[in-house]
Amino acid sequence: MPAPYLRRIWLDPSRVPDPEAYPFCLPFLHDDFELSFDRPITIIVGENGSGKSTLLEGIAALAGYDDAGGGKGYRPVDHSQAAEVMGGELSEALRASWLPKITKGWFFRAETFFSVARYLDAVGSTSDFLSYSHGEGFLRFFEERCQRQGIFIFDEPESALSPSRQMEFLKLMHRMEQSTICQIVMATHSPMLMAYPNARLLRLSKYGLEPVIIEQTDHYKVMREFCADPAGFVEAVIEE
Amino acid sequence: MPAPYLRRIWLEPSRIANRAAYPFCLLFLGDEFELSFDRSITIIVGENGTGKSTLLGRNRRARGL
Repeated sequence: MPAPYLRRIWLDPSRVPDPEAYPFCLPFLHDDFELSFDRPITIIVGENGSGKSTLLEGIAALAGYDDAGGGKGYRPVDHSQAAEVMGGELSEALRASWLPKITKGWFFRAETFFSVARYLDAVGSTSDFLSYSHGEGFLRFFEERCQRQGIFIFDEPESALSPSRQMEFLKLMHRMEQSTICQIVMATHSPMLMAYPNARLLRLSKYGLEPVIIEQTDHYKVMREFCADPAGFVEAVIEE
Repeated sequence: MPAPYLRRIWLEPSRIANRAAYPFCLLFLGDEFELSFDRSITIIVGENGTGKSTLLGRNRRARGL
């Protein structure tokens, strides 16, 4: 079966323990929250704090991945020091339809990459990810992990990638799409990654998730203004 | 005194055990490497893998950890 494998998720209000408590108090998580995946690649944009990471953590937990990053069966992250992750709680109240259920794949978060890489090096992966620079290690890791069937969740993969490495990442996304056996769910602030063709681009706001085109995103509008006049743009921002 | 406080860093070739080993093999770390900080804000750009993080001191191998 070709991707997407995860077809739909929705909130089951009867399973929400406390609607006032995080993460259920997030504005987009009202009773009728649902998200359909109609393409192999889904890209979510939204302002910091809108709940993108929590949503991705919830999806990762549904797939059986550690909600702090990793794959099924990997518990590489020392949770005592991990940033607070709420996706596990969210996933308890989410329902999902799969065609078929896939638990192979990976949940990639920039902030836990080094924990994950150290773990993989320790358990004898063929690549020595830590002997590369930050960004090179990321790309090697993606290349090794993303060639098999699975659902791959990326939370801001651009954070360690220069623009030319983001171009490499676009090529990787293309190879994954062409394979027809990879589903990608990605949150990003990078206009370059948002522009990936054939992806479903969704904006997460307090009103929920809505389809957008890149030209409508703040990310694109701001960067376009900046590129037109970098010095003038920054001066205006500072003087605000 | 106003910033910048760190005014200059430079490489001391006599202290390098092995020129061919990381991090001293990084291309920018020639014998005459030096960096002057003449403003309170210094911003470094460069491709992934050029050694930015190593220069800033974040890289665990460079710290010998």
